[in-house]
Parts: sequence; structure tokens; C-alpha cells
Amino acid sequence: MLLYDIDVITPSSLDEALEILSSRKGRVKVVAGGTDLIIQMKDGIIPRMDLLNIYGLDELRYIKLDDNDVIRIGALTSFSEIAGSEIIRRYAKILAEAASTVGSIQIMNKASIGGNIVNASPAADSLPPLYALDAIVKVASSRGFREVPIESFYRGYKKLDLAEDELVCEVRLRAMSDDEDGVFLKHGLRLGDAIAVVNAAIWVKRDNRSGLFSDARVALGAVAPTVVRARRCEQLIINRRLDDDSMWSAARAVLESISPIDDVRGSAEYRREMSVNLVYMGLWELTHRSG
Amino acid sequence: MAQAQRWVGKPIPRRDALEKAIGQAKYASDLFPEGLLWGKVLRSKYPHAKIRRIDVSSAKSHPGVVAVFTHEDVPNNRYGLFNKDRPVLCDDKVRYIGDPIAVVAAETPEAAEEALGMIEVEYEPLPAVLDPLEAMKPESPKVHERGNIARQTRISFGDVEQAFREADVIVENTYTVGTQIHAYLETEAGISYFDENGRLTIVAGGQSPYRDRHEICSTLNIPEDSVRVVIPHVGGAFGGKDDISVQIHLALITLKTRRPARLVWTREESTIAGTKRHAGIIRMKTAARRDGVLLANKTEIIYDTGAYEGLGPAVLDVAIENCNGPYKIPNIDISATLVYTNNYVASAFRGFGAPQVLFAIESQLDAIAERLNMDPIELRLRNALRRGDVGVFNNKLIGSVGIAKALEIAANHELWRERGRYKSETARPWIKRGVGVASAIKGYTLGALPDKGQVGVELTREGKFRVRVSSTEIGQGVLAALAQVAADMLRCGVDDIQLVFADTLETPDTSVTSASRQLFLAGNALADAARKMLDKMRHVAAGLSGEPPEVFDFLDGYAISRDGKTRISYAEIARYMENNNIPPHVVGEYEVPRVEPIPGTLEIPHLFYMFAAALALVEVNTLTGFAQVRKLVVIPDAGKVINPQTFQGQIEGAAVQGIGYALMEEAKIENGILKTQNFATYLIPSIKDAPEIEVIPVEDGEETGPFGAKGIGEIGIIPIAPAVANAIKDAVGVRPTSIPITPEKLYWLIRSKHGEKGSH
Ligand SMILES: Cc1cc2nc3c(=O)[nH]c(=O)nc-3n(C[C@H](O)[C@H](O)[C@H](O)COP(=O)(O)OP(=O)(O)OC[C@H]3O[C@@H](n4cnc5c(N)ncnc54)[C@H](O)[C@@H]3O)c2cc1C
Repeated sequence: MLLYDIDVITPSSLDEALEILSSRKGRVKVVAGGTDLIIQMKDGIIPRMDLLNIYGLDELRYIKLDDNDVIRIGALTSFSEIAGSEIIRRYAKILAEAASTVGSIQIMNKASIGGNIVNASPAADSLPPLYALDAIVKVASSRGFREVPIESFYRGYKKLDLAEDELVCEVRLRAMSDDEDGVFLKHGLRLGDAIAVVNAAIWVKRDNRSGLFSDARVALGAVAPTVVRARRCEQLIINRRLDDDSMWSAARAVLESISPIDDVRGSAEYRREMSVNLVYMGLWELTHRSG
Repeated sequence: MAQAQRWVGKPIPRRDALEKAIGQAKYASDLFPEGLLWGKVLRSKYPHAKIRRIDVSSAKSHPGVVAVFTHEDVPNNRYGLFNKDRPVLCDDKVRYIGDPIAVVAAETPEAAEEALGMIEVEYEPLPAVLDPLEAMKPESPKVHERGNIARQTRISFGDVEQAFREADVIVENTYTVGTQIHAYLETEAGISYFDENGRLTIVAGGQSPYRDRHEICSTLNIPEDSVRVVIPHVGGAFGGKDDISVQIHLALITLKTRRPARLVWTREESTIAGTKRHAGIIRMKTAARRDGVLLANKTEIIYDTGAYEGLGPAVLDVAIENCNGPYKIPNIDISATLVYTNNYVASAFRGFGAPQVLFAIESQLDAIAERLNMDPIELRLRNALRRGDVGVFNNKLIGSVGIAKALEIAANHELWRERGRYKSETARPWIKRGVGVASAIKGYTLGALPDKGQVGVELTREGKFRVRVSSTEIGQGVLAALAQVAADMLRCGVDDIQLVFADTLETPDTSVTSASRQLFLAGNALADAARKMLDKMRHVAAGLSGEPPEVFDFLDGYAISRDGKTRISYAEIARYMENNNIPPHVVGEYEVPRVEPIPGTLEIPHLFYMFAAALALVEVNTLTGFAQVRKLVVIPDAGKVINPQTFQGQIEGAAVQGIGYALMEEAKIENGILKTQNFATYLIPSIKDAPEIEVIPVEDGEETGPFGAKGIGEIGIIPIAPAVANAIKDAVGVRPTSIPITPEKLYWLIRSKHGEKGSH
């Protein structure tokens, strides 16, 4: 479908954007980098309507580390900026790793983390790290601000805790400390510009004395209507001595948390196996680093 | 033509490089003639259906719509290069999803698109036949009246059964190969208009302006001299623009409305309605003696040509010709079938039927080497063809045959000699590495089909040359290479060569740009033209100086007498010609030598063959099935490299396309519906998937080629899939027999052999 007869409204401040969103509720669609939206509108996946172009709102483009070890990322921050940020690379490295796998250089330059979050693809690469790092999504409207833990932000396939007059303005994480570690894993069908068949992020906290993981979070994408936490798997790696067999058992436990489907990128059966194997590979990496 | 080479062999930057890099080069899709109408094509929704009724009345009255055309507007509604089986616009039936039914011409693209939705087509769906094996059964639904066997033939030499009885080792496998889409950057595109002389002009991406003109004129029933076809820079073709795409539809719009038009396929239209590489099934039974000497090869080839033949019959010939690899095999037996189905139309694609069968035979060779516990390169060398040998069809190989040399280079390459070390360099227990080798062969030129081309050369007033060829610049760099050849032949600077190309009004017919032979053909015709031109100039020099013509030789834009005392510039010669009404142009011609086709074939054998060997280092993640090519070494038998940069580009590009073919490019077709209609799902290699590629040419010279050059356009893709597959076998111990070797396929293959937890 061709896109024509569409008005593009470009606000000059967040306040103005929120104003327009509330006055034209439901009759205007937010566009940030446009890397999802334009394609979906062209393909008729989402209805054609006027666009609120927030791409120029630089006030939503930042990466900050505050005194309380909290990392704040503005919604419009691009994946290039995230992948290259010293703060993210040091204190949220699994997000930096994920960011550097989003599409190609061109896509990374344009695509925003806010767009990735709101587009809510189960395969979105920023989401497993955000789940594993227990991120908080900050939402704004002309009525004020709200904060939502990432896991409760998603209520089902592309169902969000986000009203029509709301914008995502920030995502917030706790900076990882020296005794924390993590891996991001992505299995795509080629090396560049690949949408994940399965992706996963693992975060662990090491007990320095025992060398065991005293806490862990495992999140997987593209295997359920939303990104999922693999809680049974987490239990099997916390405070346990991990050898090859116990890592495989823990990895196999992710099957309890996922419900993959068949699609053009892979069969459900293949996705099940990939979920297990990716988590195994991740655990292997973590246990072979320094533990 | 023995003479000093000043330009040939040099890495001269391509003249189109800068203008393409900065976006100045004009492709057909960049053209917007004033007052144009936007063309759009309505395509079939069913893989197989009768058309009961087409009602275009409401579409016609839609605001902005100028005309809507159906089959009723096409006087001769069938075309095709071998068999006129394809409608310009469907009449009785549709035979695949995407078959064109109507063409809309409107003032805006929006109106054109809206009008498509207003055309009513009443279909009577028919059972579709989508599996070539099913299609071959007599009781299957018929795609065409004549049945689903488009072509079937059997060629045998010697006695394979006897050889199988005497063999020490026999390897038998069934290989399946998928459908590959050309995926060029520029989709099928063109414009049309009446020029100032009232000539219907079509400017469109293609590979042969004369053949496109013929198809336009024969279907629309108009005289050939009333139509001009121009092919500007083309954003990739790879064989996919060998067939008609937008040309006839454009001509129809402009002919009937008297207005300019533009028709550019969307990416989805391109993947659906563009031609593709034949998917197929290849069964092979190959026998060898204990010492590695090949005794027999029995091959069954089934290629799915989809709804229409296109160039399928010739593609099948090339498969037949090359399915025994570049080897001497005394007993061969080939049965080959081209099958119609309600799938997408397959026709020409770089390699033209050879990549499929080379995947098979090169996998067979590897399996034999393994059974005999013999080095795979040694096995290949023991059987490799050499110049002067008699090939499998009892055909004497008179041209250059560089495969043994290429294999020797491969055997001595560090990647091969130290493959043990390369394989051990992996950091994770689930990562396995392997090194594989493969050879390739393919004829260039049109084989036993008549093939002749002309080139025009004109001396300009300034003493430069205008060279006229109908060769098309499809990204391969033929124009730059021809300029270098022309400069050396006409003894002038390369910048003194101006090329006029691919225009039925301005250039003579240099035949089609395909079969890896445009440089060979045009270069030879150019040699003839250069000889004639220099002869003419020699006589002018004689007239100007009073010295006999024989004393003149040519160098750097001057005719110079033997004693060096008389120097006459080309510009002086040009002026003299003008003043004395001596026509300053000549036409050179070359007819490609050929032999009679062997019974049961159309165009084989060729007299001239290209060869290559390739090595691949592949890394397999046994826990995901993902195979990554880490390094490729490609060793093409080039005859003589005219431009090293262009050569490297051609071989690298072909190699990466080969990686796509081997590992990821998979046109998924379910119930006749293409599931991979754009690049989000039809995966071609990204730059990150392109490994280090080392290109080492064998330059033994081919006396019949210009300055010793032979074809190189297709050979680079052919050895890649088997080399990659053989490397995967080396890495994980299982032999992939189906390409593309996607991660999921390879994963299950590894699982079936090693059980859970990969192979570690
Ligand atoms: C070639 C290609 C490759 C890709 N590869 C990947 C990949 O590897 N991994 C991956 O995860 N994704 C990939 N994507 C998808 C896409 O790039 C990402 O999802 C990207 O982050 C979307 O961001 P955007 O700024 O472009 O969002 P847009 O397209 O502008 O918007 C996406 C959606 O979010 C809404 N939206 C955007 N910003 C806000 C906001 N601040 N508040 C409220 N709503 C908002 C829009 O209304 C829209 O519904 C790819 C896309 C393409 C085209």
C-alpha cells in the first residue's frame, strides 16, 4: 500500500507532544525512528492515520548514570548510542550487546529503544536484557508520569499497559556492580540484519566466597506472545554447583516457561530446542568466565 | 592479435563507479518522463484457475484512470524464447500466483493502485500441482494442454551398469536444491514514450535490447523498425532480466494511450513475478575404482520450471552438460526432465542450471574420497579434464582447460595444507570447523546454438573512437572492460574510447548479455572492427603522407611510419576522412565457433568452458545448526584478466551469492503462495555474512578470446555451495544433501546423527 494523504505533526517539545496526543487521542500515531511503524502502515498491519513525529525531541535522547547507581535512558536514544555508550557497556553490558545486534548499522542509527519497547515484538532484542535487568518503564501524559516494571508493562501479544494519550519517555535500570555478570544470546538466520529466532539474556549475581550464583534472572524472546522469564530455570542455577549436567537440566527447565509457534523463521520444535541450547551456552559462558 | 597491452590487465577504475557511488547514474527506475501514466499490474490470486470473466468497467471509470488493458488488447498473446507458452495478460487460465491479468494506466500511482482493487475477476479454481514429482504423473492436473513434461531427454555414453558391476566403490545420493531469487537492488523497471520521430521507445532494465524488441513487436504485432529499446544502467540482473518483465506492458500502455508511461515493480512483485533459479531433485550414482579413477556416473535430473518454460529448456541442457563435473568419466547416463507446475516461473540465473548439478557431483566426489580414504583434491586431480582430452560426450576439448591448475593451487594453499590447524582453532566445545573443496565447470557462449554479434566503431572528428555495442551494463563492468580492450586494439588512450551501449537505434546487435560471454563475443567482434578501422586509417595516412600504407603502425593516437619520421595524429586522419567523404565507421562481426548438438539436446556441447576450484572454511554451531563461512578461496580459470578490480568484484559477488544459495536463500512456497516476498524473510547474505575472500586467477590464456580472456561471470558461484557443504561434512560428520543448508535443517541433521546436545 502506498502512504499518502497523511499529515505529519512535528511537536517542538515533550509537553506539546503530550498535548497533541491527548487532544487527538486515537487519531494520531506516534512515530520515532519509524523503522517499525512505516513498514507496518505500508503493509496495512496497522491502520493508516496521521503521524505525531517525536523524532526531533532531543530532550528524550540521553543516557545518564545518577548517584544512586540508576541508569536512565531516554526513549528516543538510538541503538547506536546505546551500543557505544561507556555507561551501558560498563554497567548494563548485556543491553549494549543486544543493542549492537539490532538490524544493521543503518537500523541501529535510526531505531530507538522506546520504539523497540512499544512495538512490543516478542523478538525485540532490547527486551530480554531489560527483563533480566528488571527495568522500569517511565510513561508520560498530559496527566503526569507513571512508572511500570517492564514485566507488567506487557499484558499479552502486543498488549501494553499504555493508554492512547501516553508516551514512553524513559527506561530505567540499576547499574550492574562488579559481582554481577550477564550474557545476551541471539540466534538469527544470518549474521547481519537478522530478526531473532530465539534471543535470551541471563543476569547473575555471584557470591564471591562460594563462587555460586546467589541470584539470577533468565529471560527469553520470540518463544511466547511476550518476552518471558524462565523462573524454574533460575531456581535451578541459584546457589547450586553447576556442572555440565546440571547446566543442561537447568537449561531444559526453560521449556516450562515458553510456548513457541511455527513461523517463517522456524518451527516451534526448533525454537524449543534453541531456547534450551541458548540458555545452556549462556550458562557455559558465565561459569567459564570467573566463577 | 599479438600486440603490446597498455590497458588490458590494469586495475583501471570503472568509468561508471563514481557516478554510481554518488547517485548520478540513471537507472530505468530513476526516469520520470513528463506527463507520464503510472502503470500497475493486476496479478492472479490463485495458483491455478480458469478465468471465467474479467470486468474492468468500474476500474476504468475510477477518477484518474486512463485505461485498463486485458488480453483482448494483445494481438498475439503468447511469448517465450523457446516455446511461446506465456501470455502477456492471462486469458483462459492463470497458472501461478502472480500471473498478470490486467494492466492499469492512471494519472497517479494511487489511482492506479485503487483501480486494481476494482477489477473484477471471476475465477474457477482448479487443483494446483506444486510438487514436480506429482506433476510428472499422467493423472495430475495439467498446467498446459500439452501436459506437465515440458522437456524430457536421455543421454548416455558407454555402459554405466557394466561399470557399476566392476566398480570398487559406488556412492548413491538424492540431492534437493531450492529456489533462488535474484534479489537485485533494482527491481524490474522501465518507462515508455514516443520519441520525436514518433518511434515507440522503451527504456527498461534488461539483458538484450534486440530480443526484448522482438518480444514486444511479435506480441503487439507492430513492425520492429517502429520500436526502439534502450537498456540504461541496470541495477543487477544475474539472468533475471533475460526474460520479459515490464517491456510489453509498457509498450501496450503507450501504444494505446499515446502517452508516456512508467512501470516499476515493487519488491514483492519482483520476488513473485520475476523469474527464479530452478528448484530440483538430482539423483546420482557414481562409481570409482580403488585407485580413485571414476568409472561411471548415472544422473537423474528433475527441474521445476514453474508455470512457464522461460529459458528452462536451455537451463536443462546446461545441467545435463555439467552434471559430471570437470572430469573424465567413460560411462555416463543422464535422464533429465523439465516439469511444469503451478509454482513460480524459473528461468535464467547465474550458473544457468549448473550450480544445482555441481552441488550434487562435487558432494559425490567428496563422498568417494572419504570411502577411498583419499585426499579429496588428489581424487579430483586424478580425474580432471585437461586440454585436448575427450569429454564425456565424446567432445574434444580444444579450448583452455584450467581446472587441474586451479586444483593444484588449491592443494598448495595454506588453508588446505594447514587445515588441521584451522580446524582446531575453535573456542567453544559446540563450535566445529571444517574445510571443504569443490570444482566447477560451465560452458560459456551459447554452445551449439548459432551466436553472432556485431560491434560498431567510429572515428570522431577529434580523433577519438565511439564504440557501439548492444551489450548491457548490468553491473558486471563489461563497458569498462570493453573500453580497455578497444584502447589496446585501436592503440589509443582508454579515455579516448566512448561507449554507446544497448540501444536498438544507436548500436548494432551484439547479441544477448548472458552466458558469461559478452566480453568474449563483443571483444572478438571489436577486434574485427578494429582491424577494419586501422586498415582504413592506414590508407588515409598513406594518402596524407604519400608513403605506402604498409609502413604505418599505430601508437598512442598516431599513425607512425616504420622509420618514425612521419607521425600523423588520429585527429588529422579524421579530418581528412571528413573532407574526403570517407565514412568514418566500420562494423566488426564475430560468429562464435560451435559444433553440432549431440542428439537429444538443444545446444550442447560447448566448445568453450570456464572452470574454477574453491576452498571453504566453515564454522558450525552444533547447538543451533548455524553455519558460518569464515574464509573462501576461489580460483577461477580466467584465461586473461582484463581488469583485476572488475574481476575481483565479479568473483567476490558471485561467491557471496553462492553463500546465500548454499546456506540461507530459500524461497518458501506453500500451496503456491510465496511466503518470502521481501528481504525481511527472503534472506540474502548481509555484509557481516561475507567472509574474507581470496581470489586467485589462473591465467593460461584462451587463444580465441580477446587478449586471451574467457568468460568469468557465472563460474564464481558454482563451486561455492558444494565447497561449503563439503566443509560442513568435514566439520560435523554429516553430509548435507539439501540446499539451502539453513540452521534448522542442519540442526536436525546433526541431531539425527549425534543425538541430543549436539556433537560434543
Ligand atoms: C531492516 C530492519 C531490521 C531490524 N532488525 C531488528 C533487530 O535485529 N532487532 C530488533 O529488536 N528490532 C529490529 N527491527 C525493528 C525496529 O528497528 C526496532 O523495533 C526499533 O527499535 C523501533 O524503533 P523506532 O524508533 O524505529 O520505532 P517506530 O517505528 O517509530 O515506532 C514503533 C512503534 O512504537 C511506537 N512508539 C515509538 N516511540 C514511542 C514512544 N516513545 N512512546 C510511545 N510509543 C512509541 C510507535 O507508535 C510504533 O507503534 C528491525 C527493523 C528493520 C526495518
